Amino acid sequence: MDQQQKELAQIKAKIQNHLISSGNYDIINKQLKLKLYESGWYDKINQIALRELNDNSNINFDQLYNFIKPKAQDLVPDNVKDEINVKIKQYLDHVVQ
Amino acid sequence: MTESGITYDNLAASLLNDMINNIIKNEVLLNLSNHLSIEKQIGDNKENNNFKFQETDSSKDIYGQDKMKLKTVESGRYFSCENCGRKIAGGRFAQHINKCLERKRK
Repeated sequence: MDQQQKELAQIKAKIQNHLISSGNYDIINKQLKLKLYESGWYDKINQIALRELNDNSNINFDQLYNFIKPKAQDLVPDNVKDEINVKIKQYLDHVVQ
Repeated sequence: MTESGITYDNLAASLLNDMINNIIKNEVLLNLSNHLSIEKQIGDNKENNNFKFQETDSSKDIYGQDKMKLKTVESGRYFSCENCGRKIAGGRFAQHINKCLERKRK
Protein backbone atom coordinates (compact mmCIF):
# COMPACT_ATOMS: atom_id res chain seq x y z
CA MET A 1 0.00 0.00 0.00
CA ASP A 2 2.83 2.30 0.95
CA GLN A 3 4.66 1.42 -2.20
CA GLN A 4 1.57 2.18 -4.19
CA GLN A 5 1.12 5.54 -2.57
CA LYS A 6 4.73 6.39 -3.20
CA GLU A 7 4.30 5.52 -6.81
CA LEU A 8 1.17 7.59 -7.03
CA ALA A 9 2.98 10.55 -5.51
CA GLN A 10 5.78 10.20 -8.01
CA ILE A 11 3.46 9.99 -10.95
CA LYS A 12 1.49 12.89 -9.61
CA ALA A 13 4.60 15.05 -9.27
CA LYS A 14 5.58 14.25 -12.83
CA ILE A 15 2.16 15.02 -14.17
CA GLN A 16 1.94 18.19 -12.17
CA ASN A 17 5.20 19.38 -13.63
CA HIS A 18 4.00 18.62 -17.10
CA LEU A 19 0.63 20.21 -16.37
CA ILE A 20 2.29 23.45 -15.36
CA SER A 21 4.98 23.57 -18.04
CA SER A 22 2.46 22.87 -20.79
CA GLY A 23 0.29 25.77 -19.65
CA ASN A 24 -2.69 23.53 -19.04
CA TYR A 25 -2.59 24.18 -15.32
CA ASP A 26 -3.26 27.84 -15.92
CA ILE A 27 -6.14 27.12 -18.25
CA ILE A 28 -7.86 24.65 -15.94
CA ASN A 29 -7.17 26.79 -12.90
CA LYS A 30 -8.74 29.79 -14.58
CA GLN A 31 -11.81 27.78 -15.50
CA LEU A 32 -12.09 26.58 -11.94
CA LYS A 33 -11.83 30.11 -10.58
CA LEU A 34 -14.41 31.38 -13.01
CA LYS A 35 -16.84 28.64 -12.04
CA LEU A 36 -16.27 29.40 -8.37
CA TYR A 37 -16.88 33.09 -8.96
CA GLU A 38 -20.09 32.33 -10.81
CA SER A 39 -21.34 30.10 -8.04
CA GLY A 40 -20.71 32.77 -5.41
CA TRP A 41 -18.14 30.66 -3.65
CA TYR A 42 -15.66 33.52 -3.30
CA ASP A 43 -18.23 35.73 -1.64
CA LYS A 44 -19.08 33.05 0.88
CA ILE A 45 -15.45 32.42 1.72
CA ASN A 46 -14.76 36.12 2.12
CA GLN A 47 -17.73 36.50 4.44
CA ILE A 48 -16.58 33.60 6.60
CA ALA A 49 -13.05 34.99 6.73
CA LEU A 50 -14.29 38.48 7.53
CA ARG A 51 -16.52 37.28 10.31
CA GLU A 52 -13.75 35.21 11.85
CA LEU A 53 -11.25 38.06 11.60
CA ASN A 54 -13.83 40.33 13.16
CA ASP A 55 -14.41 38.01 16.10
CA ASN A 56 -10.82 37.08 16.59
CA SER A 57 -8.48 39.81 15.54
CA ASN A 58 -5.26 38.13 16.61
CA ILE A 59 -5.69 34.99 14.59
CA ASN A 60 -2.68 33.88 12.54
CA PHE A 61 -2.55 32.41 9.08
CA ASP A 62 -2.46 28.75 10.09
CA GLN A 63 -5.40 29.13 12.42
CA LEU A 64 -7.47 30.99 9.90
CA TYR A 65 -6.54 28.56 7.14
CA ASN A 66 -7.44 25.54 9.26
CA PHE A 67 -10.69 27.21 10.23
CA ILE A 68 -11.75 28.02 6.70
CA LYS A 69 -10.36 25.06 4.77
CA PRO A 70 -13.00 22.42 5.64
CA LYS A 71 -15.84 24.87 5.11
CA ALA A 72 -14.40 26.09 1.84
CA GLN A 73 -13.97 22.55 0.58
CA ASP A 74 -17.53 21.70 1.48
CA LEU A 75 -18.85 24.81 -0.19
CA VAL A 76 -17.40 23.99 -3.59
CA PRO A 77 -20.46 22.97 -5.62
CA ASP A 78 -20.47 19.37 -6.83
CA ASN A 79 -21.12 20.29 -10.44
CA VAL A 80 -18.04 22.54 -10.47
CA LYS A 81 -15.96 19.72 -9.03
CA ASP A 82 -17.31 17.30 -11.61
CA GLU A 83 -16.70 19.64 -14.50
CA ILE A 84 -13.11 20.35 -13.57
CA ASN A 85 -12.55 16.69 -12.82
CA VAL A 86 -13.67 15.85 -16.33
CA LYS A 87 -11.27 18.47 -17.71
CA ILE A 88 -8.38 17.02 -15.75
CA LYS A 89 -9.26 13.54 -16.90
CA GLN A 90 -9.37 14.69 -20.50
CA TYR A 91 -5.92 16.13 -20.03
CA LEU A 92 -4.71 12.88 -18.47
CA ASP A 93 -6.21 10.90 -21.33
CA HIS A 94 -4.30 13.09 -23.70
CA VAL A 95 -1.00 12.73 -21.86
CA VAL A 96 -1.06 9.14 -20.63
CA GLN A 97 -0.85 6.88 -23.58
CA MET B 1 -7.07 -3.06 -14.69
CA THR B 2 -9.37 -1.89 -11.94
CA GLU B 3 -6.39 -0.81 -9.89
CA SER B 4 -5.08 1.48 -12.57
CA GLY B 5 -8.60 2.84 -12.91
CA ILE B 6 -8.65 3.66 -9.24
CA THR B 7 -5.30 5.39 -9.32
CA TYR B 8 -6.34 7.25 -12.43
CA ASP B 9 -9.41 8.59 -10.66
CA ASN B 10 -7.38 9.23 -7.54
CA LEU B 11 -4.88 11.18 -9.54
CA ALA B 12 -7.48 13.46 -11.07
CA ALA B 13 -9.20 13.94 -7.72
CA SER B 14 -5.98 14.77 -5.92
CA LEU B 15 -4.93 17.20 -8.64
CA LEU B 16 -8.29 18.92 -8.28
CA ASN B 17 -7.97 18.93 -4.53
CA ASP B 18 -4.56 20.58 -4.74
CA MET B 19 -5.96 23.23 -7.02
CA ILE B 20 -8.83 24.01 -4.68
CA ASN B 21 -6.55 24.11 -1.67
CA ASN B 22 -4.22 26.50 -3.45
CA ILE B 23 -7.11 28.82 -4.18
CA ILE B 24 -8.29 28.64 -0.58
CA LYS B 25 -4.80 29.41 0.68
CA ASN B 26 -4.58 32.38 -1.63
CA GLU B 27 -7.92 33.69 -0.55
CA VAL B 28 -7.15 33.30 3.16
CA LEU B 29 -3.85 35.07 2.72
CA LEU B 30 -5.53 37.90 0.85
CA ASN B 31 -8.15 38.36 3.54
CA LEU B 32 -5.63 38.24 6.32
CA SER B 33 -3.27 40.73 4.72
CA ASN B 34 -6.13 43.09 3.96
CA HIS B 35 -7.28 42.82 7.52
CA LEU B 36 -3.83 43.47 8.92
CA SER B 37 -3.14 46.44 6.71
CA ILE B 38 -6.46 48.06 7.58
CA GLU B 39 -5.85 47.32 11.24
CA LYS B 40 -2.48 49.00 11.04
CA GLN B 41 -3.86 52.09 9.39
CA ILE B 42 -6.77 52.72 11.70
CA GLY B 43 -5.02 51.70 14.91
CA ASP B 44 -7.23 52.05 17.96
CA ASN B 45 -9.81 54.04 16.12
CA LYS B 46 -11.96 50.99 15.55
CA GLU B 47 -15.32 52.49 16.38
CA ASN B 48 -15.01 55.47 14.09
CA ASN B 49 -14.32 53.88 10.77
CA ASN B 50 -16.87 53.12 8.18
CA PHE B 51 -15.03 50.81 5.85
CA LYS B 52 -13.96 48.00 8.07
CA PHE B 53 -15.94 44.98 9.20
CA GLN B 54 -18.80 45.67 6.94
CA GLU B 55 -20.71 42.55 6.33
CA THR B 56 -22.64 42.73 3.14
CA ASP B 57 -26.18 41.55 3.38
CA SER B 58 -27.27 39.99 0.12
CA SER B 59 -30.75 41.49 0.37
CA LYS B 60 -29.38 45.04 0.37
CA ASP B 61 -27.53 47.06 -2.23
CA ILE B 62 -24.27 48.91 -1.62
CA TYR B 63 -26.07 51.88 -0.05
CA GLY B 64 -27.84 49.66 2.44
CA GLN B 65 -31.20 49.98 0.74
CA ASP B 66 -33.48 47.00 0.52
CA LYS B 67 -33.29 45.48 -2.93
CA MET B 68 -36.81 44.12 -2.99
CA LYS B 69 -38.27 47.44 -1.95
CA LEU B 70 -36.28 49.26 -4.61
CA LYS B 71 -37.48 46.83 -7.21
CA THR B 72 -41.14 47.34 -6.40
CA VAL B 73 -40.69 51.10 -6.30
CA GLU B 74 -38.98 51.10 -9.68
CA SER B 75 -41.35 48.77 -11.44
CA GLY B 76 -44.30 50.72 -10.08
CA ARG B 77 -43.11 54.05 -11.36
CA TYR B 78 -44.24 55.24 -14.76
CA PHE B 79 -41.90 56.62 -17.37
CA SER B 80 -43.01 58.33 -20.52
CA CYS B 81 -41.66 56.88 -23.73
CA GLU B 82 -39.88 59.52 -25.80
CA ASN B 83 -40.73 57.67 -28.94
CA CYS B 84 -44.48 57.23 -28.75
CA GLY B 85 -45.32 59.45 -25.80
CA ARG B 86 -47.15 56.75 -23.87
CA LYS B 87 -46.52 56.16 -20.19
CA ILE B 88 -44.93 52.81 -19.46
CA ALA B 89 -44.38 51.09 -16.10
CA GLY B 90 -40.70 50.85 -15.10
CA GLY B 91 -40.76 47.08 -15.10
CA ARG B 92 -41.83 46.94 -18.72
CA PHE B 93 -39.93 49.91 -20.02
CA ALA B 94 -36.98 48.05 -21.49
CA GLN B 95 -39.27 45.62 -23.23
CA HIS B 96 -41.42 48.43 -24.56
CA ILE B 97 -38.60 50.60 -25.87
CA ASN B 98 -37.14 47.61 -27.66
CA LYS B 99 -40.35 47.00 -29.58
CA CYS B 100 -41.21 50.66 -29.97
CA LEU B 101 -37.91 51.55 -31.62
CA GLU B 102 -38.09 48.53 -33.84
CA ARG B 103 -41.48 49.64 -35.09
CA LYS B 104 -40.05 53.06 -35.89
CA ARG B 105 -37.19 51.59 -37.88
CA LYS B 106 -39.58 49.65 -40.06
